Amino acid sequence: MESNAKSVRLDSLTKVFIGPGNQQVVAADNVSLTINPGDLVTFLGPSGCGKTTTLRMVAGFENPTSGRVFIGGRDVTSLPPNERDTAMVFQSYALFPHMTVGENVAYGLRFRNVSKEEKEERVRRIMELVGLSGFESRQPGQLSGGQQQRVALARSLVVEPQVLLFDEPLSNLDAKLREQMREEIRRIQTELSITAIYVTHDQSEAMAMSDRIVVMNHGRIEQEGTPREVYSEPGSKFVADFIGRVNFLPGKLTGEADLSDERAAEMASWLEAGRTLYEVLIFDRRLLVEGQDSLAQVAGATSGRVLVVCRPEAATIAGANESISPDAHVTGRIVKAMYFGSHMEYGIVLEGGSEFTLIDFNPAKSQPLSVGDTAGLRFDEASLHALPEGR
Amino acid sequence: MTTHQTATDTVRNSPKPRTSRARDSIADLKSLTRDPILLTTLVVVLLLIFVFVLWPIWKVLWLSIAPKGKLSMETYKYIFGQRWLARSFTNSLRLGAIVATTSTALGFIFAFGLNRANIRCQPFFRQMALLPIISPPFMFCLSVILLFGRNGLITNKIFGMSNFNVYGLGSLVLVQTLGMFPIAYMVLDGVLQAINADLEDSALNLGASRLSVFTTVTLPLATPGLASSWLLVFVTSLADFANPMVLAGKYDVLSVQAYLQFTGMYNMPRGSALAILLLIPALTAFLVERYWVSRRSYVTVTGKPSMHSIPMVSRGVSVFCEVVCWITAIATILFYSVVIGGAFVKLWGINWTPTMEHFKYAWDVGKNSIRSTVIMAGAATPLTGFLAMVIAFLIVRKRFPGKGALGFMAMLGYAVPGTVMGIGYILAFNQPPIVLTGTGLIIILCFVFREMPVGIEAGVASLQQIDPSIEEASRNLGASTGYTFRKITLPLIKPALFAGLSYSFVRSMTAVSAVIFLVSARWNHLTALTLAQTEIMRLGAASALSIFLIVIVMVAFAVMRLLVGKEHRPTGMIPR
Ligand SMILES: Nc1ncnc2c1ncn2[C@@H]1O[C@H](COP(=O)(O)OP(=O)(O)OP(=O)(O)O)[C@@H](O)[C@H]1O
Ligand SMILES: [Mg+2]
Repeated sequence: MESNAKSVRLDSLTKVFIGPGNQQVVAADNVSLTINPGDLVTFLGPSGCGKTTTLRMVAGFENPTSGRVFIGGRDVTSLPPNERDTAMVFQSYALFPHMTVGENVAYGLRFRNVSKEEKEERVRRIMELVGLSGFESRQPGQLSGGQQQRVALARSLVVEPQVLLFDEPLSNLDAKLREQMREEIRRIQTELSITAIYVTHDQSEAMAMSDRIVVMNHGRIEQEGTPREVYSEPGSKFVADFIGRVNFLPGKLTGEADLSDERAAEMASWLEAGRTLYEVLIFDRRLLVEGQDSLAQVAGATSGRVLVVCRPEAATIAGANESISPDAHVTGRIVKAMYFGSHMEYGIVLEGGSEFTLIDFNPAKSQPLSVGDTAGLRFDEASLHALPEGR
Repeated sequence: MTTHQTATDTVRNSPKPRTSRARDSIADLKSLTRDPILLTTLVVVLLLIFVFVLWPIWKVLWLSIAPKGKLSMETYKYIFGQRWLARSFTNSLRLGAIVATTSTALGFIFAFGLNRANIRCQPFFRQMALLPIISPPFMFCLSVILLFGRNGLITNKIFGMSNFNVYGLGSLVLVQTLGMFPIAYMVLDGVLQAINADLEDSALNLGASRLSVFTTVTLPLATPGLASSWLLVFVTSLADFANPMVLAGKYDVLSVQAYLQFTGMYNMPRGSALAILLLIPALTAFLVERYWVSRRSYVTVTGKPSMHSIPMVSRGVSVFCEVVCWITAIATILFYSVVIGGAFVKLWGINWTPTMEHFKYAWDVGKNSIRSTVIMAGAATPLTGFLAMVIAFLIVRKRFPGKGALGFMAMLGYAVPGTVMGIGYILAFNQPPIVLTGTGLIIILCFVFREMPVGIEAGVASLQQIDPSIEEASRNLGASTGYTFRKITLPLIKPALFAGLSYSFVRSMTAVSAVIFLVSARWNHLTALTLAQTEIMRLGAASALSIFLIVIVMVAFAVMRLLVGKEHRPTGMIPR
């Protein structure tokens, strides 16, 4: 199958629903996005944030209130769904119950000029690809959930669409199958190199399979980037909170880091464009924390107060009780200690009273601490991020 | 909901191996002996069904095949030897087939227009499609006579025709279609709503044009529904007595012939045989619908109605649906208006002076009938509801051998034409051990066992939607069975129950085909009185009586709405 990948561009897409009592629901608010050919992009966000609505506007099932949709550079905004050449995998699978598996998979080919032989050949190849050869004459009801999922996938793939659309395709499967299927979807999508949009509210699914992640909230795009970027450089408190687990520490920005210092210079050299290294006071310790270029200016409005994002694995235990290391940035009392085999998870009440979650990935190496112990904490400065307060 | 929702719905349960089935029923039987309340209830229910459903039907059958006490086919030979009698059989079938086809087509256009074509004025059309269900019998006949009869508004006054013959097949098809398309609409509305919107979206998404989506997805999925609707309307048309009685003219049909033979000519065996000839196709069609077509259905209630944001049909189709809906709605309104008008003018078509004299006259001749009608229907309704809920509960929640048979026998009252039931009740209850003829009780019992299936359907449908774990949770938290039923189950099924009850009240109020055999001077029924007035061409009085009936029905609905809170469409219930 030659690559048919097309770019997708959303230009200020807005969708306003008129709910009961003429109340307006803004399901998508000025969504602009460019998706490169062959990329798999996930829309990630809490329930009701407008993921499905945006996806359905790409497929043509909803007419945008304003804005445009481009596929492969062509404006498809006014095209009906059947002329868009997108193929959607529905959450309900939407397999036609009155047709066999084979007829289901071949359905889309009825509307494309394909000879009988080619049709059979394509169905055969796709069924092989999804690992369902020999199931053609079954009724959809005679398949397991995972198999039905594959049929739905095959039915979308066989038409070699310009864009594949997925709306939470795995939410009906159990955890194990979900992991297996997401790898398979990713494998097939890269193999065929088809541009894909994938809607989910499962962040680990998004992290595992996407080229890029679009985090949505209240109908707006909060942040867009590679999985690494959204995880390690969250652009807002919402994104930091929504993706992975996070601690927020209060900080006070005192200025840009002094780059004549060797350590600061080295840290700064790792930063991407648009990011700056700052000096931030956290628990009265002067730490080096990166943030966006404009942060100093934005934080000025709050007399330098910023929010420092610290992932649970970005801090380590630096001694306990009598032997707290002088390297420790802060001390706290352990109120929760849970053993997970691969790691220990601690809940620690810090000076000032806030609870901090810390994950220690080497529980075997050190003597695990227990509830009631006092522990020293050391932050990994390179993994901290400062955000403007209040966002 | 669950994983394989759309697809697994379609898989029928594979039959259990025979041995394990036998073992199951033995175990069921054993548990039955350990549950004396269940056992007693079952015995009582079975006894009632035997006496008031099976026994009367058997009496009709027996009289037709043994007119002089021993087996002989002479009655049937006579019927098929006389062309005028034999023709009523084919006439009934032909009328049924035509009306089933027209009603299903009209019902589908309504359902499709309202669910897929995004036509305007949807709430209005929904109301209009359900209005004929509560119309009194004869009502549309009156309208047709007032509009197209000898002094008809349209034929005589507008077109100046003086000898237009309104009686016959054409008029029958018109009034039955207008009166029965709501059955088709209700079935098909449910079917179209239950088709998962994702299926059609998915077809569109894979490149199908809107026409292809319709022919390859929507229509195949709706086909079992179309067949159901056709068969149900067919049965309804066969069993209809009121319309052909007034409008058939020379077009003889079975229900009317059976009545005339039985009560007019006192030829009871011949009347019974005609009733049996009516029963055979009606029962066949009902059984085909129930045990064959409805099992082929791919759609089940998912709770989430189909919603499409973009139109699924072209402009032209949408306009077509809307025009058809408008024509039907206007016809219905017109039919209602002329009856109301007819009740207020002196002599329709000749003397248009407004008057109240028809109401006065109707009240004088009718007040006793009105009272007895309301009493009988009112007494039958709670009995129906109670019995229906008990049976529904047994069917859904209990295990006992012969459950399928019980369900079938309980539903028989639904499939058997009223004519057969009416004759059966006369034959069964005019001699010891049970003598009921001439009493109000015989009519009440007839109502109970004819309307019970509607209540059972409603009860079964709503009970099935209640997860047994809800009841189990209540038991688990310490509530007794009785408390659980009162405080958990009953409130949950109350809306469906009340909808079913008010509906069965209305059906008892408007019943005619069975009642016509059972009324007496003391216990008359409004519909029988209306028929008598129509036959002597006192159309004004008949119109006034119809209006009384409509008012009573409306009041019943208003009371129901007060009790339940909001309008609740009867679930799982198909009107006749
Ligand atoms: N047809 C509609 N009419 C009115 N409001 C709607 C309609 N469809 C969606 N909405 C509203 O638009 C908002 C976004 O809905 P959408 O289905 O896009 O959310 P989502 O991000 O897919 O959520 P989920 O993760 O729960 O599927 C919600 O507030 C929803 O209530
Ligand atoms: Mg969604």
